[in-house]
Amino acid sequence: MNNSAADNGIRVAGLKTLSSGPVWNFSASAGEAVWIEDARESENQWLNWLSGIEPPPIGEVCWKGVEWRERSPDEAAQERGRIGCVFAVGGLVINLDMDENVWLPSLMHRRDGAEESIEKWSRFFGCLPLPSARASTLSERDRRRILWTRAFSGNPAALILERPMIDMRDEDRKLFLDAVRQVRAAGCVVVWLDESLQPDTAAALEPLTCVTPEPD
Amino acid sequence: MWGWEWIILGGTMSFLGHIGAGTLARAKGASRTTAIVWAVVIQALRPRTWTAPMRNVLARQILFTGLEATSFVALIAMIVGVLVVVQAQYWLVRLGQTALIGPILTAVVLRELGPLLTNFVVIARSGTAISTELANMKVHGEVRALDAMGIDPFVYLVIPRVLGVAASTFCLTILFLAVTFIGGFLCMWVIELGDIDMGLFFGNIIGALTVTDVFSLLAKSIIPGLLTGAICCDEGLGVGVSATDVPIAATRGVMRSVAALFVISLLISVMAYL
Repeated sequence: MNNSAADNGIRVAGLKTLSSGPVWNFSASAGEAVWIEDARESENQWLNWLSGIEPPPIGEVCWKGVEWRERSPDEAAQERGRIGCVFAVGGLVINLDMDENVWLPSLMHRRDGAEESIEKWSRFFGCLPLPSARASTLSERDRRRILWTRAFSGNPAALILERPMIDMRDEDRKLFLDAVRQVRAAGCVVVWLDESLQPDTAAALEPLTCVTPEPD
Repeated sequence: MWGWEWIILGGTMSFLGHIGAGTLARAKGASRTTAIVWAVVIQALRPRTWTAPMRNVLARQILFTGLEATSFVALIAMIVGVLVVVQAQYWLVRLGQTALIGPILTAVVLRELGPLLTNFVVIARSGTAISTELANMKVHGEVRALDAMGIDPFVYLVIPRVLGVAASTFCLTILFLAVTFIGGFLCMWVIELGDIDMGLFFGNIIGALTVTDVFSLLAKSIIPGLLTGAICCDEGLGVGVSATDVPIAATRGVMRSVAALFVISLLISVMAYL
């Protein structure tokens, strides 16, 4: 892991979660996995900062060598479309059916080969055919599978996983970690946001870099 | 100066400052709404904006705001037609000018009441729904999720809603006018007001129409529709993370939309007919 290699991944420089406090400097290029254990303390802001939804209070976040703030809104949206996100809370559009939720980013970004990709991942996660029903009619487990299918479809260049293992069954853990390994082998950057890692997760993500802040 | 003079001066300055602050806040809100409408129009003109999900959201908005409101708007229009004819009959019979019923209907309903009442119905039904829906999406992190997927919430949520409301308001206004005139004619026929000829009645109405009326009607139905959509989206997406913000957003959306409706109607009437 080094800064120049992050031109095809994520680079964080001089980032502070508070105006005074430790400084975060790290980068992750294609195929690398990093674990940020500050996820809970910073009130879920890491996903927003890394995906460029909002800038960090201090410091910069670069995606593919360009700081998010330097991109035009259209370009930033286009680039964000290449990042898959798994949210700790919510993440699904409630007034859309679940199949529409999965298809939404692919249709909005006019992705080629979306049908094959969605079919592949929905089959992998065991939610094929995709349910034509609202989120409220599905179990939490099914909703999570839909969320994963959406995040993994479309050949993401990066995956940002926000506390993905909460209340997860053992068989689902295995499936999910297997999926992460697959996309990582295809060159996807994986950013894991959680306050702790179970041994099986840490083992599955090897080689894994645990990033920690430096004193100010 | 005496002490009481300072008190009066201080009170006056505070009062003027209060008025100034309120005026500035309203001007800022108006410029923000105008900017949203402008951005909606510009973005909507780009063909690549209209992806399949966008067309789907637009169709759903027109279905909810336009199609599902037709029966209620028609009912209101029928009642208005009867009321206006009953009032007109009372006065015109006294004056011996029953032939003026057509032009009076045109002046009262087409120029003012039709667009105004239709917009009221749209604000009450769809304005509140839009504010509440978007505010709930914001509170539950759905807007954040859209943003994180590279789907601009302005493009996906705001553009189809604003355009859907404007298009629906225009169509509902036309429906309102048609039903009002038909209702008015039927009322006249039932109460046997003068010697009524259907051709003459509708001919009078069409004859009373001017080019200014047509442009005024277009402006009074489309512009407030655009503003209602923009204001309610703005209020809905402007909430924080608390669920208690949702009803506040709905109320603010309705109040601002009603105020914008009256101001725009007044401005258009003054520009068109004075």
